[in-house]
Amino acid sequence: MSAGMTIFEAENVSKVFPVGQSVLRRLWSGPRGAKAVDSVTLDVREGEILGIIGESGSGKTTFGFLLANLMPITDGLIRYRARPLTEMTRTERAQFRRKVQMVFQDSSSALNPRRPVGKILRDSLRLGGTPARERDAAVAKLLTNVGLSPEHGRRYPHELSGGQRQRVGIARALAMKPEVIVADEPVSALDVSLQGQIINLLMRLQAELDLTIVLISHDIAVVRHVCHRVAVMYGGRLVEFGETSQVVEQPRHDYTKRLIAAVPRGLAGRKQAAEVSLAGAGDSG
Amino acid sequence: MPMSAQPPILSIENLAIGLTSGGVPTPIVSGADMTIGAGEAVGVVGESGSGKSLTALAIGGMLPAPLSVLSGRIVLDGTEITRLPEAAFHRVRGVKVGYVFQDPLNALNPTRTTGKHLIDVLRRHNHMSASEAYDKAVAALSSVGITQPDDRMRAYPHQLSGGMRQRVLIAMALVCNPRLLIADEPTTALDVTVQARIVDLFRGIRARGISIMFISHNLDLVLEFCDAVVVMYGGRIMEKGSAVEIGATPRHPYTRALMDCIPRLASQSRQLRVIPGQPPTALGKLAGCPFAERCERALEVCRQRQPDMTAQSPTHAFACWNPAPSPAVPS
Amino acid sequence: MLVGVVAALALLAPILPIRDPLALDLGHRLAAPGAHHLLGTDQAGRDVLSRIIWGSRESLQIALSAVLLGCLFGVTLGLIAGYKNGSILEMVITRCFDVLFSIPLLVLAIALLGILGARPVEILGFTLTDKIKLVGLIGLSFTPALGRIAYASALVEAKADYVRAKKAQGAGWIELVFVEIFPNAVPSVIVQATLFVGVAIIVEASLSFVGLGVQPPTPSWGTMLADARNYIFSGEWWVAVFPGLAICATVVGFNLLGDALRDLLDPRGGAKSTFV
Repeated sequence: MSAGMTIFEAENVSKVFPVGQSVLRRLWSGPRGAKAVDSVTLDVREGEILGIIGESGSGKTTFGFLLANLMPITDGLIRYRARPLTEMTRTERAQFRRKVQMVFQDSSSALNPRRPVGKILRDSLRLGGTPARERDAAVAKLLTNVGLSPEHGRRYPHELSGGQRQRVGIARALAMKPEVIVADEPVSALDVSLQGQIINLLMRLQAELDLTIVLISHDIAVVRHVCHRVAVMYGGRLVEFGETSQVVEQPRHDYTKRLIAAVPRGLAGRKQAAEVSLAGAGDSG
Repeated sequence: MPMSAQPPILSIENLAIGLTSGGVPTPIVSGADMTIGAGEAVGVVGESGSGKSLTALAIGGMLPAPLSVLSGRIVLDGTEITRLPEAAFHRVRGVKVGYVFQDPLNALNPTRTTGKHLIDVLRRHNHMSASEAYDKAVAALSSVGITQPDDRMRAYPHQLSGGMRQRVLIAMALVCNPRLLIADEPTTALDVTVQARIVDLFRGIRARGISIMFISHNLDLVLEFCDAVVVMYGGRIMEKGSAVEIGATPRHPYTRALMDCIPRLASQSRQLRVIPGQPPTALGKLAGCPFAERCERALEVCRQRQPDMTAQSPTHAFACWNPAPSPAVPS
Repeated sequence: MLVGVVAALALLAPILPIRDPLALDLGHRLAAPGAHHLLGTDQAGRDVLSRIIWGSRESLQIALSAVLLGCLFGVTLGLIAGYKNGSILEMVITRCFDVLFSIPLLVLAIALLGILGARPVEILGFTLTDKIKLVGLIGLSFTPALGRIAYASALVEAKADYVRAKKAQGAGWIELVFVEIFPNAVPSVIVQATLFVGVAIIVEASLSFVGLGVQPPTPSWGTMLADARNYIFSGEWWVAVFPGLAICATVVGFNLLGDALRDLLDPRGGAKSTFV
């Protein structure tokens, strides 16, 4: 497997969201509130596909935002190519923004509903530094590269299907010519038979463009197929981290074991009537 | 496909659902035939545009205008309910059929406590005093596995976790002792660990003799839990049968393809299988099999004529001109 | 269609009218509607119809300008406040809105017009005519309401993923606020703005009624109503009723226009229903 050099290092990263505090109080005594991400330490290697698995509330999406520097961290350190994000100069930050792009989860809110897709991509190309005269051609190329036709550029987001919108989201990220793509639940909203299309697209792009991908998902089966390494998050904490096959076949943490056990397995998972207790387990489910 | 000798709780015969525009009926769902026996859990599997939710709504007379039942029959517990007037449906919904929908947060009124939700349902269908209703409501909550039910009665929906809200909805659906519970994607909005527990709850409900119509897009989940499976695509039933038969020997190419697509923990390959193309949008074409354009086994006749149901066994049938060969098992 | 007709009538009215509205015809004072004067004459013998038509110019001019002004200030500030959610700037802007909103219009009118006087005033080389003062006043009073609507939209949209995505690609706040958020705030603002045109007409009428607005003999619907109040019950009903009808029709017309505009501008073409 590709084990390139380390591109991201996160050390004891925490993120606290101030909950219900007025501006003044926050300025006075500092933020206090829910710890969405709690002391997470991991690294991302160049050229790999890293999966971050967790359920809702696990902090995986927040962590993705932190990695992409879309939110400031409250505690700890994130280094990109050995350079801490908080110490970056303006130019370095601008460069970082181009190198690390995010694909968002909810494709219906990830694209401005009042702008045609082509314009959205053109904006991104402009922000990414593509000169004006090349932009039209570049938009067409982006669309074809993600499996759409240049004709789709004239459409508005609501005129496209969920899968197509997701592809536009990927195209938008690619418009910046990034090195790293953080993909937040790119397939959760899609039918099973279509999920593969997007996942395979990401994998093809990764191979063609030498990308590093951080895939955030709640679906461990998808992650198992696609990711070299996987990080399991629960309640904001990192509970397990390692090679995918290891984590899936020999999980060490209790939560990981429960997660794997809960995945439906079709016929193989049919229980005998006697094994079932009435009313399931209590409160937390 | 009743598993027992008793008459089925629900029988749907040749049901067509759709619009009538300018006098011309345009079906969205057609030719739907299925039965659910007493104490049986039938899973209806389909992707978007399959018509599974519409079928469920039709049973309770809750099709959104301008849709309506175009033809066919729905027989619930011996009574035909296909064209009941709205007033009569009040006695059916909640009493004979309980519904559980996908998103528990949206299905509960955020300004009312759990207790109020339950007591309302109870008193609407039964003559009982407030304290009787309260006791019954508490009992309903415990029966769905909620501990400290007295405390929970006073809780508001946003104070409960997703799994608990879903349990509350299930309790509301069951509180008047219906014979059939229709659950439309009851676990889709929940985490997978919570899902497993809710499915256990459903197992318990089935054990109490209540029939369940379990609608889901997750074939694996349905195969794990349900007794029988109905696979829908583009408004038509592609294959139906006992879960074991469908899981082991699926004949319809769509069922096969769907199974192949599901990413499995056990498998090693890195590429995910796909079904090329898109599922059909609501108003599909009338002639031919709706899956024809995406099917790798499609023949000319598939595009021209809708295949009839061929019975593989008394408990397994499929609608296909060119089904996958028989004993082959998908890897 | 109704929208079109009413709006067109209102907007096209100021094409050369029939008769000089200021021409006095004292011999025919308070003449009932008839062939000579289609809608009758008022107490000074002026033709009601032409006064209505000319009056529309005044009323509409003032109303539209006021709403535009209110939009300009309100929407800009509101959008910025919504975008900068959690900052001091937001607090300042919303408090300003609150303050402005809490002052009753007439009090504001009396105060401002009292300070500035009823005649044209020179400030910094600009002549503030009556009309400009009026427009400014009414516009100012609309600012908080329009601003709040823009603010509410901006609060929601600013958190949307598409804004975040563009920000992640390096867009500055000006681009974000005006290119991304603004179009999504427009529909709600439009509806309110068109309602406000109606309100502005009535406000102008009220202010003119009490003598703080447009001064006679310039016709405006408000002054016409003011002048006519003596005659409503004494039998010369046309002097008051026709201007009143004109106001009603125009206000309704603008409301309908607003609805139509909002739907037109939505690329989604209205509500979608989802099946299955």
